[in-house]
Amino acid sequence: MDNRTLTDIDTGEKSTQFLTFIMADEEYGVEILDVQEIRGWEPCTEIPNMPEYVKGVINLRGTIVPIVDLRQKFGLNNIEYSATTVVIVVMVLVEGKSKVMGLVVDAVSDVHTISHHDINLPPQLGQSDGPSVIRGLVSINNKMVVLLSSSLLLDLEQFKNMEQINTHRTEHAIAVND
Amino acid sequence: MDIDLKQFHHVFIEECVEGLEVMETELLKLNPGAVDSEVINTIFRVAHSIKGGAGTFGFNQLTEFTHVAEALLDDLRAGKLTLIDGHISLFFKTVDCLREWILRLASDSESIPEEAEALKLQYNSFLQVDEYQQQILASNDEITPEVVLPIVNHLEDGYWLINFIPGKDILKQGNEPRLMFAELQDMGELKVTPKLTAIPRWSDVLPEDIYVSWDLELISQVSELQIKEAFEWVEDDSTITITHSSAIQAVIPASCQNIVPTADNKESTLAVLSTQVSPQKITNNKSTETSSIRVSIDKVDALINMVGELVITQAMLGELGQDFSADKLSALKKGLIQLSQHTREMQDSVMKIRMLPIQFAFNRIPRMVRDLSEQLGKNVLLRMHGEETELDKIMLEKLSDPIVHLVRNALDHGIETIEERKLTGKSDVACLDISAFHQGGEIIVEIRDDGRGLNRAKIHAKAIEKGIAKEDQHYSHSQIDELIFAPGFSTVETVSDISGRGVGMDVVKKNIESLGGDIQVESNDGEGSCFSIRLPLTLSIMDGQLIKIGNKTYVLPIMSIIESLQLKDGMVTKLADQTEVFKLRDEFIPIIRLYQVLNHETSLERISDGLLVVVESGANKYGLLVDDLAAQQQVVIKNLEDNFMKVSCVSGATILGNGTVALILDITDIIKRITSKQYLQQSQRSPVAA
Amino acid sequence: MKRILAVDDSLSIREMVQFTLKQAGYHVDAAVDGVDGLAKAKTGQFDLIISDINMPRMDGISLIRHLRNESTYKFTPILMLTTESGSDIKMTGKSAGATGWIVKPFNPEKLIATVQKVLR
Repeated sequence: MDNRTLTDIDTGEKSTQFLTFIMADEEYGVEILDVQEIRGWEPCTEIPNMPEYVKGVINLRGTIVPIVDLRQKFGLNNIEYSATTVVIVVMVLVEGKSKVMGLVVDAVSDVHTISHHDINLPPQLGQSDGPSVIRGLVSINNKMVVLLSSSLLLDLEQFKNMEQINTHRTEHAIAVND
Repeated sequence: MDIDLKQFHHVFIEECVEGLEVMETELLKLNPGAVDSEVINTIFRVAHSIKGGAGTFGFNQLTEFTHVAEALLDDLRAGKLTLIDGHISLFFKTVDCLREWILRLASDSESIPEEAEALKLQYNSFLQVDEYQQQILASNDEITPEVVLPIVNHLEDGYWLINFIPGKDILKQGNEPRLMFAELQDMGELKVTPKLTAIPRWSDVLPEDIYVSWDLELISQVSELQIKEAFEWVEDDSTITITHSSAIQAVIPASCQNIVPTADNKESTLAVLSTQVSPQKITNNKSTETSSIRVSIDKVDALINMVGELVITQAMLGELGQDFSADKLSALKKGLIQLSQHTREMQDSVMKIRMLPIQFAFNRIPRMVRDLSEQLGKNVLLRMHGEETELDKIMLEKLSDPIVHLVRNALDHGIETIEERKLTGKSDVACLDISAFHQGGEIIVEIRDDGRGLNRAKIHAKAIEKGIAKEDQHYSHSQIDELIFAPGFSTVETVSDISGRGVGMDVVKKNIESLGGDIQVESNDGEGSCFSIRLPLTLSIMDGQLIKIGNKTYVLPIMSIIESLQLKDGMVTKLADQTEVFKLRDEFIPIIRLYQVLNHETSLERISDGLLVVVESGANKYGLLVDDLAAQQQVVIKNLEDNFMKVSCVSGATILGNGTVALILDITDIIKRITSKQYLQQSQRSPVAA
Repeated sequence: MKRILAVDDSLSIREMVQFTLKQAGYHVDAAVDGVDGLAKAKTGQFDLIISDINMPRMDGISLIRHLRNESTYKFTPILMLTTESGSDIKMTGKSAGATGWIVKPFNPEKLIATVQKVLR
């Protein structure tokens, strides 16, 4: 995995390229090499009994790809999808298999080469449901950018738990409606 | 040039696997009373082949083991020994041992099955061979190394006189003196003098005979044995005299004169060469699920033809598209129809490539039935039908275990002992019929026995005991029968090592359902049971019925649909537990409101606005309420788990003609959710007054 | 290029022989038993035939006899592949018309060396 690291010939400094994007006026970044493509938002086929941030699946040239709304997943307030809303399609190795998933974000920003030296580790926020999705924090042009780990974003365990919570919610609703 | 034999290992392994199957099938035909020589010969050839390959590819211990088996078989086929039951049992055990051995070889292990040594001893006792003789046998067939005898480098050139009188037939055997002399020439300096004295008069000459003999002088460092080697093939028919010129003899150290391999230096040459012949390792893993497939060349040819047609159609369409105008429309339509025809044909052809006869899943059964019936003291006649019925390779592999399990169950629980059968007036011999056939786009496998049938009272009681069934609820015969598929169910008092606990049945059902099929049982008291397994022909394409729920489109597998109907108000009754049912001819069928299960908006206001799709799962029917029915079409099944995960109620996804994704519903899963939910609800509510 | 026909009912042996001899620069065809071998020999033209002895349908000895009956193969070298180094099979083979033998198991080098003995 370390052919992603660029090493400066002169200084020996290591760095990685990140694609940054915007959600609710905050900037985030993912490794550019994980990004397969960037598409405009298009309606997807809903999957039943999934949490709200799983929008559904789309047909990506014959492959079925799930779409996740990062805003909703992070618990930020919803907005209407607009002309700038994009889907960042990432491809990452999860348990040895490569998986593709689309992330809905407000807009794409830029590509930056970020030196490892400048990345600050995220503060431990108490609850640990395993490794955090946040890889680190960096400051670009005086703005804080939250760097995300794509592979952890694609971790599906979290979805499984969400499904159970939702199922109970639904059952309860049906019981009431009868 | 260094040729690596490892590349042939997997072929050898596959060959052995096949050979062992042949061996087993043939062994089943063996009868000490009437020995068919062709059968023995076939079995011999398998052992011989395995031995030959084992030796060639460096599996020495395997060679040694198979050698004794081959020896016994050789004696039997030559009539030197009479075939007895003990031999047959030993051969069967050998097959098992070799199967295990081959598996280990395939996964790179050098370990040998424990029973091998014991079996070898048994062979030896049959062959009445003592240790000494055994060594001789072994050394005869040991890997004969290149007889590279230690040539002492400082030996001076020997001067050899060779007189070669060839047997007159050697030319007819394809031997040529010229080639033998060329070999000698490689060893040193050669002078050849032909002797023509034996040539008869021209009229008596037979051109195919050889009348010339030769005197050869060779100056070389080689030994007599090496010279003899050049004439190895003709020495029995010819007269060859090799003499060492006395002038030089005295100079040769005595120790080098007779370089005949004694036990000692043979061992040392063997030691030197042993590195070459150590077992070579295979780098790729081989499980019982093979990753290669044998395809009949007809299927491949058919496919190639079809591709050809497709290319032509595509070219034609391409041309049409170049310069398109409205008047070409009908030609375009025709072309598209042709294209769809060709694509469908090609699709069928490609599917067929992955299809293998179900024979492969059946091949363990005869042996198993034989062993088990012996063990249990039952007399069973096994009949298999439809072995040539073809199905997808993956299905085949996954069907093997369930079939084995069902057969074991039939033998263990279904079929009675001979005494019991006599008591009930049945024939001594029980019948076990296994049939496979195609029916409407599916493959059906039936396992039928004429035993006692399912013991319903026992099943019912046990189910209540395990909490799987409810005391006050009425169960029909078929519903009781279905209980055996429930998880955690077992009516066996003692855990017999034959079928283990009845736990297998729910696993069998789950496995079959995971392939998109189902299993049902039909049983008649005292007359027997019949298990039917239904499977789609392929995993990747299915006939689908598009349905609409609200504004969403889903796909139902047509295979599970019995009929569709529209309900009128008043046809629906609500049961005490709040389940809605409707009457279809003689049955009461529960209604499932799909929009609830899937958590969707529906456009329906009343049940009668929608349509009810009656589906079948196991022996039970259910009515799925949908907003509307749309088209029926063949859908290509795409796996959701590739990029996402298994979603409940959904078995996969497909891409519709308009490019959007439609989810394929998993009927079994939906039913499970509903029934478990109902159960949950029932236990949570207080009993409703009747 | 010299043409060789290899006859053996074992796929792994056929593959090994074909591969080895092709590497050594020969053209190699294969047959699965005596019947197949005879048919292929008749329709082709081979400079050398290598055959196993124990095969279904027609064994090696019979194959050799049939081949020697064909005028084209009267003097062609025919080598037997045999696991038995006892003299019985060698004599039987020779009387059927075999040129020589290669004892199984053999390694690729031995195979090539023996072929070179008859195909210079």
